[in-house]
Amino acid sequence: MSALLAARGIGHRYQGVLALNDIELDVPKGTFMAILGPNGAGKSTLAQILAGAIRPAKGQILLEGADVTARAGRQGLIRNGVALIPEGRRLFGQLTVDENLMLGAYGQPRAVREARLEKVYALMPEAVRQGKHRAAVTLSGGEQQMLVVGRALMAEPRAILIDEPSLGLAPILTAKVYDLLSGLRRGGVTVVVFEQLATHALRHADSIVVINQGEISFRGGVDDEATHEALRTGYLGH
Amino acid sequence: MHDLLPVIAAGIVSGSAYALLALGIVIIFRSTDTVNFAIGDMATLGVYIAVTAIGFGVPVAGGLLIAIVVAGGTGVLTERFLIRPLGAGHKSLFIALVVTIGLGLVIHAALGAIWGHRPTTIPAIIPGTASVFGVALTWNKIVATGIALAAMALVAWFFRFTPMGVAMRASAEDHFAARIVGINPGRIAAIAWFLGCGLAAIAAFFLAMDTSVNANLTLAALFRAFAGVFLGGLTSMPGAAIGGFAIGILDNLAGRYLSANYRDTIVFAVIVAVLFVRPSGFLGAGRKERV
Repeated sequence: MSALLAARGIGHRYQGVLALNDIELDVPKGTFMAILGPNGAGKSTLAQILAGAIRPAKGQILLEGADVTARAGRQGLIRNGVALIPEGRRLFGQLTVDENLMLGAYGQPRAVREARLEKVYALMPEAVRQGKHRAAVTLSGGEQQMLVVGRALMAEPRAILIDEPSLGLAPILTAKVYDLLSGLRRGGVTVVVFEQLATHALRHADSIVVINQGEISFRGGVDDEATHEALRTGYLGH
Repeated sequence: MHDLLPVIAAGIVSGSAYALLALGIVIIFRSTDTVNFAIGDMATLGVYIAVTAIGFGVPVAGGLLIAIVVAGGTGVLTERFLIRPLGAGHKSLFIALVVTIGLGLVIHAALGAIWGHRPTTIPAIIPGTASVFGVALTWNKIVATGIALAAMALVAWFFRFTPMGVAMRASAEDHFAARIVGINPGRIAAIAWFLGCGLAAIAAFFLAMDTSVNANLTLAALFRAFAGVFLGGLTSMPGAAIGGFAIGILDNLAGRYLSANYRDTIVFAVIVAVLFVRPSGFLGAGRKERV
């Protein structure tokens, strides 16, 4: 399976503090990958670098084998089909649900945006569909998480990178978000979740990567013996 | 109370210039976190070039368009070459503030050096006066207020209904989130600076038509516009417009009923009192809490 996204020797620092060191990673096309690690391990930094939202201090990002590192730092890789859902969701709270979704397809012709809007609304929970003209900030946490996935889908991305989707959500809502992500993967979208909690991620992912203090400390398939062993020994922080 | 209506009408007329300037300041602040202290001087530069063009036979209405384009263009160039290179962060915000103050002084001095210090005039679009609510207003002022209100309605429509306007509101709320959905921050900044300085040019043009074309044209109005900005809450566009009109009305009320000599003192005393009760203005964002 060829890699849709790949990191080659990625290193990054924040004001001298090491955040990521020499990360080598291949995200196979059409798979569901979970990148796990404790708080401060460098997950968010890696998510932002893979999506082109920030430029790494060292190394390259490859999109289908092509070096796209130079495009990082401004609008990221959204125009190349890589959507990032950052930590804390970052919806436009003062804007309406409709406006938030429409912005997901920013720059597309009106007819395209409206056609996609209809498709995305079909995936949204009832409360989101009923509240098209409500300010996004008035939605519940779970609805906001669904909406931000919807906003990413408006770009019809090939890959979705989602940072801490379960943060602050009740387990039943987290399960709904993961069901939606699994559905997208079945539809051919490559999904990468960055999580502190392994529970839901393990249930849906095809492969696991663990990062600790900015370095990859484990990788394997969900059904691999090594992964089960690692889970048993509490290696994954399960 | 029989003469309250004319006083309020006069307040709306003078307030329209403050509201335009205040709206310009807020649009620029929301997009780039920069308070553009040079906005009045950029607008005045636009007016001087417009007056020169009118001197060459361009109709007055064409002069207004020239003033808008020159001031807007100056704003775009300022953002691109003086503000953007400073980068983001708190330190650069302070530097940007000083840069705009300095730029304002340079433009102000250049106006005097190039066009001289003798005030000139712009001919009225429609000469004569008309009676509104029993108060005699020059057609100049009526046209100015009408155009100011139309410009504000257009701006409101732009931000409410066009994809670019929605993108600008999104970007004002969260620069990072706007970037990752594919909104180009440079383009947003350019449009905001053009719009902000262009609106200020409309105000300056009509102030000049009302009094005279001089380098200090916007000084008093800008002072009141800033008061309007703070009254409305630094980040709210409707707040800025309402704040500008409120200052205009307050100014006229104070001058009519209290004391013409102390009208500024009274206006600012009221503002201090309002901000004491509501520090973020009446439509300001206030303290943001994230859940």
